[in-house]
Amino acid sequence: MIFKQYKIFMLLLPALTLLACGEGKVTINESSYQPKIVIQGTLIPGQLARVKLRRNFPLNAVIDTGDILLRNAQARIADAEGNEFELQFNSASGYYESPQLLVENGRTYILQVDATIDGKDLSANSTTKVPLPGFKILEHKSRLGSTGYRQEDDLGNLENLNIVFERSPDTDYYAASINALNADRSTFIYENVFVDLDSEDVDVEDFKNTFTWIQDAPLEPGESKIDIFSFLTWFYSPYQVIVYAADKNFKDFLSTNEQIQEIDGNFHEPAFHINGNGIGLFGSAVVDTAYFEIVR
Amino acid sequence: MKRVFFVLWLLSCIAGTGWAQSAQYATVSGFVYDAANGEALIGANVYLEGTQMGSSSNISGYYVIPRVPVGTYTLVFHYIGYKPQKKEIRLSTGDQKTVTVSLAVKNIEMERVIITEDAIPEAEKLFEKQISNLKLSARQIRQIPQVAEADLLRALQTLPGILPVSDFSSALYVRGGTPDQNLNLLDGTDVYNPEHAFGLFSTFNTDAIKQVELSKGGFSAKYGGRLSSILNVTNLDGNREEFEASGSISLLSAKMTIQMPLGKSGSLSGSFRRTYFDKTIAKAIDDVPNYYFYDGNIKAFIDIDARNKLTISSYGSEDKLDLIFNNNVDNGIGFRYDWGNRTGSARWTHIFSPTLFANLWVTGSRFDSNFDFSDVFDLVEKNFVSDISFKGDFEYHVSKQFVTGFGFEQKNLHLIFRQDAPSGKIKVNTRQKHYAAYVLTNWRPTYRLDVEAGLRYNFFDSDQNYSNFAPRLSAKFRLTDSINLKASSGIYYQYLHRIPRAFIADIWVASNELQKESSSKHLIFGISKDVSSDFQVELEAYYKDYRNIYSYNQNISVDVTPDEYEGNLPVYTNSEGVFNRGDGNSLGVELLLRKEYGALTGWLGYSLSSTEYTIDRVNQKNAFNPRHDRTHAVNLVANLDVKNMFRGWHGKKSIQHTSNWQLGATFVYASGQPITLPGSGYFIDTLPDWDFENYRVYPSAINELRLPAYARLDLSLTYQRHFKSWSIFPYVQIFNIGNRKNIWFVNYDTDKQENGFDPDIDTTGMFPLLPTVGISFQF
Repeated sequence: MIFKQYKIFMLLLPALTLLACGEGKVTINESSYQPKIVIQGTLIPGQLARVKLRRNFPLNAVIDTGDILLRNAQARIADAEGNEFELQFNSASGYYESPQLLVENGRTYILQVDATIDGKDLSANSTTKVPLPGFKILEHKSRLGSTGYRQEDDLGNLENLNIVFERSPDTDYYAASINALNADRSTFIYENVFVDLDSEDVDVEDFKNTFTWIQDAPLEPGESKIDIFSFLTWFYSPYQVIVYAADKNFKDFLSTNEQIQEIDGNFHEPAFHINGNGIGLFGSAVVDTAYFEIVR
Repeated sequence: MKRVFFVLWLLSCIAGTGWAQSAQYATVSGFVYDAANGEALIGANVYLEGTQMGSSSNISGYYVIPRVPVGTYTLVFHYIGYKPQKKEIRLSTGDQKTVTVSLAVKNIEMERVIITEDAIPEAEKLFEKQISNLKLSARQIRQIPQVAEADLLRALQTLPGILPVSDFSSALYVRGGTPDQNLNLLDGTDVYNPEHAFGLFSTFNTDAIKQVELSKGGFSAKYGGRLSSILNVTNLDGNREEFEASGSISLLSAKMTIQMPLGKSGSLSGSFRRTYFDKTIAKAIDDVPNYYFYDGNIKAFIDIDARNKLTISSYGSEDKLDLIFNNNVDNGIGFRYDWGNRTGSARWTHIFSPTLFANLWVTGSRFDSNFDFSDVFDLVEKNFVSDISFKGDFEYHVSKQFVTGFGFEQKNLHLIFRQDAPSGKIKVNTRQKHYAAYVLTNWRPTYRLDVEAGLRYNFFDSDQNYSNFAPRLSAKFRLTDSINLKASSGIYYQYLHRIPRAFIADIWVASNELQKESSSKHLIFGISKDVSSDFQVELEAYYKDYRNIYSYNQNISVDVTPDEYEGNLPVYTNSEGVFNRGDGNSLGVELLLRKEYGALTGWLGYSLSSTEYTIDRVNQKNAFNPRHDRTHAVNLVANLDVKNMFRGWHGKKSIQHTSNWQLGATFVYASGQPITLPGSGYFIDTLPDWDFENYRVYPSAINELRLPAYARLDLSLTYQRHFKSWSIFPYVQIFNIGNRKNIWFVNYDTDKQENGFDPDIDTTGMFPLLPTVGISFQF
């Protein structure tokens, strides 16, 4: 009996070793695909309403980007007063547009989209309320202009760039799109404090466009500030900053569309405010623009 | 509820009947100690030979046999691996006899016998064991091969019903419950975030441990405040006879434990360890951050007199991380993160009378962490938990059929979470009081039946008060001399909820007007059998439900709202939007085959289980399996004493050789974890002015898919060399010897092609093959 126990143990060890070898495999077609209408539309006051409609695709498909644009969908926008505007597909821009619908501050708009994808009739709708007027960048109060990378003051304190602005009433989210206007490998800041990259390792597209935001700003009119920290600027270059005073749809999309993988690797649902078979964004924002430059 | 009170009242009446007759009987009580070092022996069996009257020693080594008819008896003391002792006693009416013994380790011809079998029948020990209860000794923990060093929590993960979520976490998921549902007690003190090194190691130093007891469910009214399990760690009291030391050193850490007598009536133990990745590996490899931790504990035991004992225990730890992003530039920047636990307890053991025994505690526990990211953008964070508690456990032996327990606990909690960032502040600073009282009655009407009924009352004083009664009932029945049936049921409440954060310390939030108390009902049935003197088998089936459990809201950033402003900066002071509320259930069957004696020891465990959650705002409120759900899990832990294996072949008993080899193996197989994978990809411009399409993925239904099965084999080989007054144990351990690529998670991306995009899939693996060498010593 005793001999048997040891014998079993000794025989078991190589068997268990074999079991504990190898590699777990996950194939790309294991997940379940559901067709969706991908909506991309931000209404900006003073501009004509337009949305881009695409489709999603299975993960195991090789995608031709020309095929994912929806050209035959039905799209219309209604306002809170019941006026309805049909959107027409513009093949030059790829957008569905309405020449009659000029977006106004403070108004509510409802988008309705119907499309057929993979033989399935799908529909989606979403509502946005355009922020009120009042948002404006206060350049004279902002720290912009030309500056060195991580420039310090006489006391050795870091002098971060910032944008001071007048808030839009009832709007608590402000996003700044920061775009290098002269980005290439020769202007990349190699002596940065975050990553150690050689010239051939730099993919300019990865660093050229960045964004930052503040959220839960006071809803009352007043001044707020967005800091432009050094990890947002990667080139010795002039920069354009477009600041959006945005609605909740815009905020939730921007906050969650990319951050859907948790630190343990699992995925979760983003916060899109689209009903039915749609994903993406139908939101609105008031816009203003400023410039600065990082010099050597 | 009325029925529960009625049962308790009835049991008390019966108990009272026995009390009235006490004058015709005597009582025997005392302590059982280890003769070698004076440590109290927990769970030693004491009985009167030729009768069915007996008892076992409690956490202080105290035993009592009440209501013994007058006469002459032989009192027998047994403890696993020790020489039994017999004492003749004569009892007269009303006698309160105190018999304290010190048991010596078995010795034959100057060679210590390895435990081959115990004097107490295994069936008896199986019967005495509470349902869903597991005990591990420091020796057993050390024998399990691990990453870098022996670790208590990782050792527990090899037992059925206790699962890890990945190689990178020592957190315990007990029968479908989450780690915050486990009460971690170190010498009676709650430990809130028991993890070092981002969860890789637990805070419990194996060398300082005397005993570990884990209840996986159905625990008695003595315990509360958590839904799933109780982990009770008792550290060494210290050697009361002579100086003793042990330690170990490896490439990653060094540790030392000493024990010594404290005068004539006490003892002292102390333990210290420190890692030095920062001095070894970090010097050689660029990407290893500058990190180390140290911890230590001191425990003193003072035997004041025959009726009073005092135990003072303290523990402290500190983890320090200093990470620089780019070491190749001057004035490199990064972040600093440090965290640690401090615990302390004073336990006064008092014997009011031979039949009334009490443990009174004052405990303090404090966790704090500080995160400093101010180099980059002025972000600092402080996370603080403080718990000062007073508690008392009383044990009254009414008669040989009845033991009554009662007690109280009063906790004073202080939770702080502060985060200062340029975009806003979080200022959570709350205080709560938790009052609890319990009563329980253990009734053993016959040799075959043992019933315990209990009731625990909780009052949680927060910004909204919660008041709950938690009844408990368990029973054990000897079906035959070798087969026991067991069952347990109860209601459990929890008033603390955790915001889990991978790799950095969790944040604790107390029940308040936004988050109600969590509750769970347990129903457990079990059968255990002593198959032979070598093997015991236990089979248990359980069902748990959960109400008001809270999962972290992954989209927290869009759901929180500020409560006030400082200037124009939002200030958040409550937990609104932090959690998603939900319910759930777990059910399963577990099998444990255990062999504790002989040259080959270990266990084989199997669990079949399912856990489902339904969480508001997740998966359209459809039920889903959480990430830690594993349908099947098999664990094999084996340790082979090589020389004694050959002795065994020749029919000889195992002995302790002056030199020997120990081979250890741990095998784990678990079916794949649920995972949410992207169901589709899409392109979208992230911002209106970004006229380039970003690739994004959209998830499928939550956790609808499963990762491939997990499998791993770890081996260890230890050489043991015993000299006259000291021993040395060099070892090599290999974690994941098959170098299996177990998948942790999956990444999706696209490769740009000439005509479009080609999907790409990439997996992130868990630990590869990891060898460790080290040396331990003892003198």
